[in-house]
Formats: sequence, structure tokens, C-alpha cells
Amino acid sequence: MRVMKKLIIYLGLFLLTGIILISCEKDLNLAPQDKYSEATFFKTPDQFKLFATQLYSQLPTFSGMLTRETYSDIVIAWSPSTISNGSYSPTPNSDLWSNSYSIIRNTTYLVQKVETADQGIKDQVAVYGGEAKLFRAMAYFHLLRDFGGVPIIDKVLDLDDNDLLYGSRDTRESVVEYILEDINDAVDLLPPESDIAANDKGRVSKEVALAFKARVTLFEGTWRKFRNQDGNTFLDLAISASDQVISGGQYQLFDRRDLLGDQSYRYSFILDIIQTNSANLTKINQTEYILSNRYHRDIRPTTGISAGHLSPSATQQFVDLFLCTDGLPIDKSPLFQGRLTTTSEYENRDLRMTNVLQLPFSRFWAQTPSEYRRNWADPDAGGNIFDVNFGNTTRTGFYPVKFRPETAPPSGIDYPVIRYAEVLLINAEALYEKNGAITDAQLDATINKLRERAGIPKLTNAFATLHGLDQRTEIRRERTIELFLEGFRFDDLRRWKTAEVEMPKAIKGVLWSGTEYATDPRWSAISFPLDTDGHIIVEPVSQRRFEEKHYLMPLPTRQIILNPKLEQNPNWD
Amino acid sequence: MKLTMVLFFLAITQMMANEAYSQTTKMTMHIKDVTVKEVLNKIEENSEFYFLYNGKLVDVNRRVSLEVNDQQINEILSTLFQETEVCYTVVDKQIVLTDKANQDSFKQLGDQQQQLVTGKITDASTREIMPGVNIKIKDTNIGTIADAEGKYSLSVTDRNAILIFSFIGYVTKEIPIAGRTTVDVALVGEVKALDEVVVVGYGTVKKSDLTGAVSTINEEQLEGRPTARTTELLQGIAPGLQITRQNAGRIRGANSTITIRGITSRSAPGTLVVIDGIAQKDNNSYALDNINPDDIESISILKDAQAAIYGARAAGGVILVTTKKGRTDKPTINFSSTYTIQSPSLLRKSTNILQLVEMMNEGFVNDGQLVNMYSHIQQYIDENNLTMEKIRKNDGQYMVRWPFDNSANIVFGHYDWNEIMYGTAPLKNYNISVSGKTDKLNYYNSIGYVDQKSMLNYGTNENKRLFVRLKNDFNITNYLTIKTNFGFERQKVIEPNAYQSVEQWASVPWPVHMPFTPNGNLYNFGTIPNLIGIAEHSGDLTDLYYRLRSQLGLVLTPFKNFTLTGEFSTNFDILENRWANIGFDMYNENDLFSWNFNNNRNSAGAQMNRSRYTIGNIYANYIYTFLENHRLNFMAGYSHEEEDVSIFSAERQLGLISAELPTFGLGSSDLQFNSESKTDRSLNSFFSRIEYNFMNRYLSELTFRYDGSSKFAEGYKWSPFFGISGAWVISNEKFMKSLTKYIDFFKIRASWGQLGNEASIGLYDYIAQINIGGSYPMGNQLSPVRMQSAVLGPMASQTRSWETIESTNLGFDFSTLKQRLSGSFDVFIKDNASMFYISEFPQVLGVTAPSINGAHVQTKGWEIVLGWKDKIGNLSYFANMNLSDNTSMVIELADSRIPALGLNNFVEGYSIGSYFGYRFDGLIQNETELGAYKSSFTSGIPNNLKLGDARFKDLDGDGRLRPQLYELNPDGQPTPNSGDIEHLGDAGQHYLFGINLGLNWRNFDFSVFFNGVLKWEVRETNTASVGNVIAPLEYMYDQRWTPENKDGPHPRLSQDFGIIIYNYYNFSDAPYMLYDSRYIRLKNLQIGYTIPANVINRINIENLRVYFSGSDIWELHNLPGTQDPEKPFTDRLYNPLPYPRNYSFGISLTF
Repeated sequence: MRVMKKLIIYLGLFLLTGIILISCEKDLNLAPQDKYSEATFFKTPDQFKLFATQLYSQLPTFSGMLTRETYSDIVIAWSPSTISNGSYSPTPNSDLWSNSYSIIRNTTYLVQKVETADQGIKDQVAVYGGEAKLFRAMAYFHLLRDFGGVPIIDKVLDLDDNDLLYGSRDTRESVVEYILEDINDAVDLLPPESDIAANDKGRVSKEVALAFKARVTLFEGTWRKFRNQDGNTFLDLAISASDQVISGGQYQLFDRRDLLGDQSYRYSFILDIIQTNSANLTKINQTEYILSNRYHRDIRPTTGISAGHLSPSATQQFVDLFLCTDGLPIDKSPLFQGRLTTTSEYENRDLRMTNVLQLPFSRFWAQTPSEYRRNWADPDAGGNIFDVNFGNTTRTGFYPVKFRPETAPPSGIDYPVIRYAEVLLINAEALYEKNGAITDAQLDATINKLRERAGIPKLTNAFATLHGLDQRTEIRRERTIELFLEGFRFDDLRRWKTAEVEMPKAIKGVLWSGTEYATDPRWSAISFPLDTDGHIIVEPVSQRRFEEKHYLMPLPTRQIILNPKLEQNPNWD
Repeated sequence: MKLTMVLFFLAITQMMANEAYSQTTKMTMHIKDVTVKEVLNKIEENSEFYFLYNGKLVDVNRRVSLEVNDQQINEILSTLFQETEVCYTVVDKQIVLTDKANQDSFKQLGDQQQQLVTGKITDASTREIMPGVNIKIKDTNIGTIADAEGKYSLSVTDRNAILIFSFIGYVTKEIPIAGRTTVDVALVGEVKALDEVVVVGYGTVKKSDLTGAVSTINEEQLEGRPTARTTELLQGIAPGLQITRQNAGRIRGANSTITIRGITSRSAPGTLVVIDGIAQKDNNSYALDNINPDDIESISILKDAQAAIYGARAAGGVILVTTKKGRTDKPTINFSSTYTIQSPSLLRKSTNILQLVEMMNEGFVNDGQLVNMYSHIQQYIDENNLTMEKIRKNDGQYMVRWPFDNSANIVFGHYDWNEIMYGTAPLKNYNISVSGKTDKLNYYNSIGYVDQKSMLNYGTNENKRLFVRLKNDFNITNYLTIKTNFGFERQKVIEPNAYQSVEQWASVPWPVHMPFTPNGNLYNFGTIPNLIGIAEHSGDLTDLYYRLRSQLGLVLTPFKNFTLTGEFSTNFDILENRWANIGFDMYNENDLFSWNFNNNRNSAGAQMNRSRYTIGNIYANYIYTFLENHRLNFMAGYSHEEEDVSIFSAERQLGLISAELPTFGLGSSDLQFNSESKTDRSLNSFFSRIEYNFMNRYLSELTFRYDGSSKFAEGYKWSPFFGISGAWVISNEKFMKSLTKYIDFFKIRASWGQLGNEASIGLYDYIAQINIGGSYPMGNQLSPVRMQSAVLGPMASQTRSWETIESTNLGFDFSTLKQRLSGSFDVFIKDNASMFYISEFPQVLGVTAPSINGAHVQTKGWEIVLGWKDKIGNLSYFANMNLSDNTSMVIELADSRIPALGLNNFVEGYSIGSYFGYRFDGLIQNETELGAYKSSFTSGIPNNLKLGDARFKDLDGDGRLRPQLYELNPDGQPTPNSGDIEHLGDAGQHYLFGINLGLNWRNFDFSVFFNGVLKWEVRETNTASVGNVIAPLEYMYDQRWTPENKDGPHPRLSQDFGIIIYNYYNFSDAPYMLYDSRYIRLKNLQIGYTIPANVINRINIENLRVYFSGSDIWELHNLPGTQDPEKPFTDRLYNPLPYPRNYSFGISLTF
């Protein structure tokens, strides 16, 4: 019995030990099994490439740029933009601020990793250093554009880097210099478009860096010029950078009027991999996009600019920019048909007018369920008629359709971050602003290509003189029309320093008095406040302002509280 | 054959007047091979017994042998007639023999021979008489109740019978009559509450010996409250335990947040749940919900340093669950079943279409947009003189263009989509258990089944759970016990794949959308899909869970007072999730095809989750008693736990061969996706405890723990945790003896202890990680390469270690008035000086800063529990209540986080969860006020303010309205940095209470249980605003400011983002947005009837109770509209579920 007891006790102890042993498979030193640790990454060129790829998904988007366009005077949203009407106050936080510095950290980190990469792969990964620098330049440019000089963070910060974390703002000049250094490095490091492997198409190239350089330098050159500083250095850079892109011959304007007729321009912005136009042209036919934020209906779908009914409306001021087919503005052209009917002012105008705006009482298709384009064979099937339903589809009477897919979602249309048309416009504007004049040859090489596509005659110096046209006005007109809904207008007005004139104007819609709108029973039930000319007033002068301080955005106040050395922009306190 | 009589001896051992002859007479017989008749004759000869029998029925010629020594006549007769049909009835000296068939008639003969037993019942301690006591003859249905004088009388036939005296609150007593005619009894009060054994960490302790703050909940408090989830039963039941239900009313994803004694950590450590000694892997309600509520015997809640023995994961308190075990030698079979009707209520009431259009249009008109997307509808309504009377006809006579797009028309009608989508649904619970014990085995085995339908009226929806528990303890020898405890659960939840869309959208669609077109097709609502369509035709989502809880324990007692316990448990959780996303067609009012949900892009997928959680504990316990009254209890042990989780999922988009067979294998292989995730963690712990008990008067306890976690960097993994507690049972002191009359029990307790936390933080945060994910199309535009991205994670938390929460508790327990009144009171401080915290750095840092031990928060609170129980005649009743409060303050932060407008979680010097806002100065009522207000500010207010907008005070008087804290210098002047916001209130719940009342009268029982909150600042999050597809709530219609309703508490309506949202101007946390919410809710009401024993015992049923139970059936609150006061003002877009009221009918049966 005693032996038995002992035996059982030993057996029990054995089992107890077993309990601990079988339950213990893991010790306290565990490492992630489905993630890389920083220490084990950046060993192969592919890993550098993966890291650089994150930057692409942060490129500007349709909705981001559309929102930016509502800051301006050429479109108005359903709820008025407080930036456009000047009623905004500093906000505690700013996504632009936080996202930009996040990109700055990641790109700086990648640059640093490239510099310290193993000798064996150093050459192969240099290109990703170039990508990083270009994206870093973009981040700083976006900060510069809104805020002016901002802190330059030139290293991967640690928590005890107090001099940088809690440092003051760098000057506008040094930020611009920093951006240009990065871009120049990128131009050197990035391969020309033609050298990019088929599977890497979509990544940034030397041409992208040059085109971006042209954008930045034009911005800064004109910004300084119109503030009584010397902008010529930058304008020269803008000219040479855009010249290089143009002479490279890698890009052409999309113009398939041969297949798509007068609506070719509209369809060029909604090319996809499925049928999105009667000629069944697809994304590979798009030759104009230099850098795009790429989407794919299955892999990375987008809505484009959807829900057209709630989208911003174009203002009369924008609509009046379109020239008549004789190349003259409406106040000068005999071809202008007046505004008696809903469609008369669309007649004899720049083709782009009916490509980016919907002609009243014509059929359109959209991504709202009952408006999908279902049948390409029958141009009258499905969709809806734009019947100028004030309050419901448009606030002004003008209805933008640019970037709006016509087929059922999902959609995979790309957002053009930089397209060739802009490079042409930069070249023309920089030449004019630098030299105070532009030659016919220069016009032919630039904006006349855009005018040709829009079905309007060439601009020549003789034509301008003949009709009393101002070259600067015409170049700016061309830019505003061509880059509509791409988020440029607000920045253009600020760099030209004309915002103080243009922005406080009333936001107007169609002419009401004496037109079909006033007489036809379809609109009899509604009445608008009208201006002296009889145009409807969507936002009156009294509610709009643009002061000197509005040329720069206020810094996010929370950041100033955290770092008192960070000075707020003038008069924003 | 010869008759041989060896010996016959008769002894009358005792002869007393009031005792039966048959009981006092004993005989010794040694006989061999004689006839029965001869035996009977011998007995008659040698005693005063005489026999009556019919020779035809009783075979008296049967030959028998008999060996009996000093036995009563009953025993002799039963030996004599064993294995025959002969029955006997002893009526004092007369013995009747008969056969079984005729026994009853003779019984009556016996009845006539009954004897009356009388007596008086008193209370043993007070010697007062006790009326109403139940008296029953054991093993019969015969019984009576003592009268008002405490007297009873009862006829007995068997003077050998045993009487059972029982009364609520007293120890049941069994007394043999033993021939007496008077049986007086003194009943002893039950001290159950204090003698109750409470489960604490790695052991048990008598409740009277506790040194910490522990709440216990017993089976009775949980009985008869049918639910699909255990956690629901705990709401309000114990002080300091706060349970907030999430998604109540949903069959998938319903859970609860459990908070014990306030928030003391930003990372919300949750509550550790320990089931039968085994810590569960989840620190949340799932750990509780995954156990069959019917299997629970008791629950202990460790709230202070008592939890320190669970150091590592106990920061949020510990809930210890003990499952049932065998109690009686006789196998007990228990069956219970309930049928519950879940009834949707507290549905959001939206405005009707007329109110909706009026409000939306008014918002635009107020902003100056006379022509807006609603104006044509308003005009149509006016022109046609539409009234709700006309609209409610639902005749499709009136129709106007939809405001947002051209995809639909408004066909005027009235449809309440909450009413359409939700309806009553059954919940059925069944449980059967078999339990019992023998010397070698204690067993409790049960099967439970829950069958729940969702309150969603459309689509497949069901929640079926099967629980099996096999719990068997084997006493192998007196020094080795093996305990097994297996829990198995299978749960299957099926719902429409897009059920969340249905829930979100049920409150959203306008009250005009008709479900079906005239031809019976699904009607197109516009931009949101038809809800019935989503529920019925968009594919199903099926979750299939297998949960296996296996537990093996070994208790070894090699020598006296020493036990060695080993426990090993592995939990396997397997979830198989399958979904399909199928399109369906919708039509317009003319039955023309409108659009297909999904645009015919059908897809399907599956996800498999597997988690393994293993825990092993081994600990030794030694009890050492010295100098008679000193008792020491040593315990020390080691525990290891680890978990690994692996998830993979696969899906195919597009090209499903058929919508009827939504298996992803039948989808397009061009668009197939899969992903994988693998994680693990582990925890090692040493723990020990010393208890010291002197004369049951002085009690003390010391605990020590040393924990290591895989979640911290090398060098920061391990941390020690200490605890000390003591108690003094004053009522056991000699000097208190004179007061025993008044005070039955009085104990004071004090404890201090450290609790660790490493929950809710990343598993590998100490390593800087690179995450791979995303998909960007590169390369050829028509067949792009799907390029993934590598992204740098947050900065690594290299120096972070355990959060250590110090818990200090002071309390007392008492019981008085002959144990009728009992209660306890506790005050406590929980101090966390090393809270996980992410400091705010300037955003130029470009990344999320690491989490560090960088904040100091402190919770102070108190708890009161009071209980009263008494009886009046046949009526016994009880009343229990608890009340508690606590406030968590932020003492210090590593950064100086500055409050922002709105709700701030962590601001130094303020409670966790504080509202900050401008000081409201009334609404602008006229132009003069408007002008004055606008001119008093140079910045900070929108420049397009109008009548009916809010005014706020410029507290620092600098002409700027700034969202920065209003601060004064010592000299009373605003500081240069001062802004205009101030502390408006604290978002925490205060004065939580629970009230439990019950009574028993004869066979009826009745109880109600209320809980609630007395003070709670809540914020309205819905606004009647921005012209989107959401209909405003009805109560907002009357609350808005208009020139005609200048007393309206809410600002004017506006569609202007600047006024409504921008800087939160009109809707910052102004007084009209904050409500002091207090509520009381009837959590449970129960009426039960126990079928009298004499009715059911005949059919071998021991106990049968039928009852009605209502859960969450009533509440009172002071909020506008229909609100669930437990979760007020939930945003309609995110959690607009109907609230379930449950009405149950149940039966509980014990064999």
C-alpha cells in the first residue's frame, strides 16, 4: 500500500511537470511572422522598390483636386467653400500639413537607406533615391504653395531632435532652393521615359521630374514677379525644363476627333480598360498624361468625379472665358449667339465648352444607377436629359462633366497629375512673363496646339493686335479653360496676384432676365436674386472677400500651440 | 425436514410511554429451515406482537432460515419476506400481512391508526416563536405549516418517520419522531452569506475571511433570465461593475464593454475572465459570452488588490466564474427551457416627408439659397396641398423629382422603414444537465442549445449555438484527484451579407420609399439600395465557430495540509467565415429596370481563423497551524500562457458561375485574392501568496508576482507586482460579545496591491516594422502588375514596460438585526503612474510617436451594498441595492496636451473624457444682437452668421474666439495664450445603481431588478442638417429656432458646412448639445410558480417551476426622442439598431 501510494505520487508529480512542459511552446522572445522588421528590410532592390511604391498612392486625386477647384471663382459647390468666400478661420489641424510631413519623413528615410545600401546593389537602388527626392519635392511644394516658408526637415527625426521638432519656419527662398535641389537630383537619377521597363510604366521618369520642375519654377517665378521681386531665374528654369519635355517628343496631345468627333476631348479624360467611348479607345491610347495617379476598375477602383448632381457648378465667369470659333472673346465676336435660349451661348464656341460642360437638353450618362451608359450602339439609349434643373442638378445653370465616367461603377480612369497640355501652357506663360512678349513660333509650339484641338484659330501677334487682345490674358484664358477642375485656378490667381480682384466678385449663374429661363413655364416657379445685368446671383459680393492675408493659408493652430516658434502667417491670428 | 430452533431471544431495550412498542422492542433469532407460519407463531409467543393475515394471499408454508441479532421487528420482517410479494404494515403491536395488490386497503387500516405529533418551533438564538415554518414528513407528500404561534400538528402513521423543518434563511433540520408525540424544534439561522465559499485566485476562501473587495453573484441571481449572452446577466448586479452593451439586438457581433471601477488605463485593459481557475485568452466580454450561462454556479468579481494574484492581466479587475458541479449522491437531472419573444423597440422616429422637406428647404433658405434641391418639392407639396392624410393613402397619386439625382422619383407615401425591417423574433433556450457525486466521482455534464432569430424581418438570419460541458472530477485515491472539464461549442450565425448596410440604412431612407413596385418588383430607392433586396437577395454571410475548451487538472496531496495543483488548458477557436455578394435588380415606379445592386459584379470569399491558446499553472499550497489559533497558508506557483492566431482568407471577384451557388471556387480565377496573417504572444509568471489567520479575527494576506511578457523589448519584459491586505473581524473580539445581540458580524478590510497591464498594445511594438500591403497598378495599362507597397510602421516602443496600477481599498462588511440587514462599504483609489501614452509631438515628426509609460491617471471611488431580508407570515422578501461612483482624473502627462474643442480624453487636471467648449450666450434673436455680436469679434466667428445662430462668450476679451483654454494669470488677467474654451462637463457615468427586490409567497416567487445611472453628461451627435439622404429625427422638428419659435433650444437650420461643421460653430458642445442623462431601467422582472411537491412527487419529479421573465422591458429617462438611455444619441449612420425587449416563458424541471 505504501509503495502504491508513493508510486501514484511520483506519477502525479511526473504529470504535473508534463503540464508545464506541454503548455510551453513559445518563450518571451517572439518576432512578427507576417511583417518585416526594419532591421531585416532593405536588402534587395525589390524591397527598395516596394518602399518607393507607397508614394504613388498618395498622389493627388480627383476629389482632392475638385475640392481645391472649389476654392476658386470658377466653380461653386452646394455648400459654399469658406476658402473661396474668405470666411474661414485658422483650423486646429491640417491634413496637408500632416500628410506632407509624413511623406517627407518616408522619402528622407528612403534617401538615407539608398545612401547606406550595400555596395552590391547601390547602383540598382539609386533610382529609388531619385523617386524619393521627387516625391519629397512635391510634398514641400504643396506646403510652399499654401503656407509659404515652412520648416525644412532634412533628416529622419528622432524624438530628441528638439532643434528641428521645435524649430522655426525656414524662409520661402530656402524652401524653394531645397525643392529645386531635390528635383535636380531626381532629374539626374531618374531614367528617361523611354528607358522605363514595360512592367515599371507608371513610375516617375526624368520627364516627370522636368515637367514638375517647370510647374514649380513657373509658380515661384510668377509669384515673385508679381510681388516686385526678380522671378526671371525661375522663369528661365521653367522655360528650359518645359522645352526639354517638349523636345523629348515622348508625349502628344490626345486628339481623336477622327474617331470620336467633337466630343473627343471629353472622352480623353475617362478612358478605361473597358469600353468607355464609341471607338472603344482605351487607356493605352492616352498619350498626354506625363504622370498620373493610376486606378484600375478591379485593383484600385475610383469613382472619378461622380454624383454629378451634387458636384460643383461652373460659374458664368468661367463660361465666358470660352472663345468663339473665330478666336475672339464673346464681347468681340460676331459669332456669339447671345443667351436668349438655354443653348444659344454654347453655339460657335471653343469645342471644350461642350466637352467639359453639358449642353442643356442634351443626353448625358453618369455613374448614378439609372444613368449608366449601357448601349454604345444607340447614342440615345439610357442616361438622362440635362434639363437645367436649378437647385437639383446645378446652382448656376452650368453643369460640369469633365472626368465623369458614363459607365456603371467601378471605374478605373486615371487622374492626370501632370499632363502634356500643362507643360505647353507653362512654356508659353513663362516665355511671355520672362520676355514680356511671345513669338508666333512659340505660340504655335504651345497654346496653338491646344487651340487647334479645341477648334479655334491660332493666336498670333498680328491677330491679337488686330483685335486688341492682350497676350497675357489670352495665355491665362487658355490655361484656365484647359486645366478646368484640375485644381490650378486658385493657385494661379494667387501667384498672378489677381485674386484680390477676381475672388471678391459675386458668383453668378446664367442670364435670367429676358431669356428663355425667365419666360418658359419650366422655370416659372423659381426666382433668383439677379444682378443689374440680369444674371442670377449665387453668392453675392457682400458674402465674398479676399484680403492680402488670404494669399497665404493659416498654419494649423495646434502646431503653433505645440511649437510656439512656429510663426503664424501674417494677420491670421 | 426437522425444525431446529437454536436460539430465540427477545429483549425490550427501552420502554417509554410515548414511544412505539415496535421501535423499542428488539429481538434476536437464529432459526433454520422452518415455515414462515412457525416463525410468526414464535414471535407472537415471545412478544406482544400479533399478526393478521389471509392464508390465501400469504404463503406461510414457505421454509426459511433467519439469523438476526438485536433487531427491530421491521427489519426482521423485511428479511423474512424479502423477494416475495408479501407486504407488511406495523401498527404499533398489530402487524398486517398482505400481498402487494391489496396493500392499499390495508394502508387505510393503518391510517386509522395514525398518531398526532405536535410541537412548537422557535428561533435558536432569539428563542422567539417562528410562524410559517414548513414541516414535511420525509419521503412523503405529507406536510403542514406552523401557525402564528409557531405551533404545528401533524398526523403520522409511521412513528419511525423523520420530520423536515425548513424555513427561508434558516438551516433545514431533520428530526426523527422516534415514537414521540411532541417534537419541539429550535431552528438555527443560516449564516450562508458569510460562510459562503468565495473563489479567489488559485484557491477559495470563506467570505468572512476575505481581506479584499470581492463581489459574488450566485446561481439564484442568474436563474430564469434567458439570454444568448452571459455578460448581459451581470449588468447592474454588482457595484463598481459597469457593463455597456454594444449592438444589443444583433445576433452577430453583440458584445459588451466591461469596466470594473472606472478607466485607469488609456489602453482599456479589459477584464480578465477566469473560468474554473483558468484565465481566458480574451480580456473582454467574449470570454464570458462563450460559456453557457446555465452552466454557471457562481461568479466572483475581484476589484482591488485581491486581484493582484493575477497581476499580469488583472489591471482591469478579474471575473472568476465557477461552473456547476455534482451536489447530491442521487443523480440529479435538470431540464430547463425558455421561449423568448424579442421585441424591437425604441426605434428611431424620423420626420415624416412633409416635416423633412420643410426642414431641409428651410435650411437652404436660411442660408440664402432660395432655389435649392428641395424647393421644387416644397412647391409641389404646397401646390397640391399635400397632407399626411393624403400621403398615408400610399396610392402613388403624387410624384415629384428626387432631389439628389435622376435615379428615382419621390412617390408620396408613408413607410416607416424601421417598422418594415424589424419585427419580433423568437429566442429559444434548452438545457439539460446530469450531475451528482459519489465517493470517487463528481460529475456535471450538460448540453445547452440556443436558437435565436434576428429581429430583422427579411433574409436568412439565425444564431444557433450548441454547448456541451463535460466536467468530471475523479478522486483516484485520497491523495490524488484528477479534474477534467471540457467545454465544446458550435455556433452558426447566418445573416444577409450586407446586414450592416440594412442596419445602417433602416433609419436613413426617406419615409416615402415603397418596398415594391406595383408589379411586385423591388423598388429603387435612389442611391441606396432597396433594403428588402439587400436582406433577401444580396447573398449570405455565414460564421461557423467551433470553440473547444479543454481543461485538465491534477491535485496531489502527498501529505497532510500540502497540495500540489497542476492545471493545463488549451482553447481552440476555429472560425470559418463565408460570404457572397450577389446583385439584384431594382425597378422604378413604372416597373422599368433601374439598376442592379453590385452592377452584377458578384463575388464570394471565405476566411479561416484558427487560434490556439494554452495555459499551464502549477502551484503548491501548504497550510500550517501553530499555537492552536494561528493558521498560515502558503501558496506559490508558476504559470505560462501563450497564444497563436493564424488567419487566411481568399476571395474571387466577378464571374461567379451562378448566384445560386456562391462558392468562391466557382468565381473568376483572374480576380482571385488571398491574404494571411500570423501572430503570437506569451506570458510567464511566478506568483505566491501567504495568508495568515489568527483566531478568525485577524486576517492578512501578502502576494507577490513576477511577470514577463513577450510584448516588451528585452530588458523591459519582466516586472514584479506586490500586494498586501488585512482584515479585522471586530465582531469576533471578546469585547464585542455584549453587542452580539445587535451586531452579528463586523469586519474592516484594507488592501494595497499592484496590478499589471500589457493588454491592448501591439504584439511586437518594440520592433520597428515594415508593413506590406496595398495594390497599385503599374506597367501595361490593360494588364497591369499589381504592385504592393512597403510602409514604415509607427516608431518602435523600445523602452516601454508594464503599466502598473496601484490599487488601494478600505472597506467594511457588516450584518445586523439578526442578519436581516447586511452590507458593505468600500472606498478605493486606483493609481496608474505608468500609463501607456502616445505623446503629442509637432507633426513635422512625420510619424506616430511611440507609445511610452507616459501618463499618470487616478481613479477614486466608493461603493455601497445593502441587503435586507425578512419574512412576514408566509411571505418572505428581500431587497438588495448597490450604488457606486468613481471618477478618473488625469494627474500628469508626458506632454502637456492642450484641450481642443469637443470631447477630450486626456487633459492634465481634468477627468478622463471631458467636454470642452465655448460658453454659450444664447441664440441671436434680432438684428441688433447680430450686429453687436459680429462687431465684438475680429476673428474666430463665421462672417455669415444669421438670426438663430449661436453666440459664444469672448471670455478673455481679446475680440477673438479661439479654441484654446481660457486661462487666467495669478493676478486674474487672461494669459497671453488664453483662448475662450472652458470645461463643460465630464463624459463619465456617475452613481451607478442596481436594485433587486423579491418576494416568495407560498409557491409563488416574484422579483424585479432595476439598474441605472444618476448622472451622466451625454452629447447629442445628430443634427438636423446638411441636405443629404438622411431624414432628420422627429423630435428635432420642434426644437429648431425659427423666427416663430424663438424659444427653440437648437440654432436655426442651415445647410452651410461653415455654420454647422466648420469649427463646429453652431454645434460645438454648447448646452443645447449636452444632456444630463440619468435613467432607470427595469432589467428583469420575474414571476415564478413552483408546482407543489405533493402534486409532482407522484410522478417522480423533484422540482418543477414555471416562470415568466421580462428583460429590459421598461425605462425612464430625460432625453428627447426615442433613445436607448444606455447608449444615447448613437449616430444613426453607425448604430441605429432597434432595442430588444425580451419576454420569456420558462420551465425548469429537476428529476
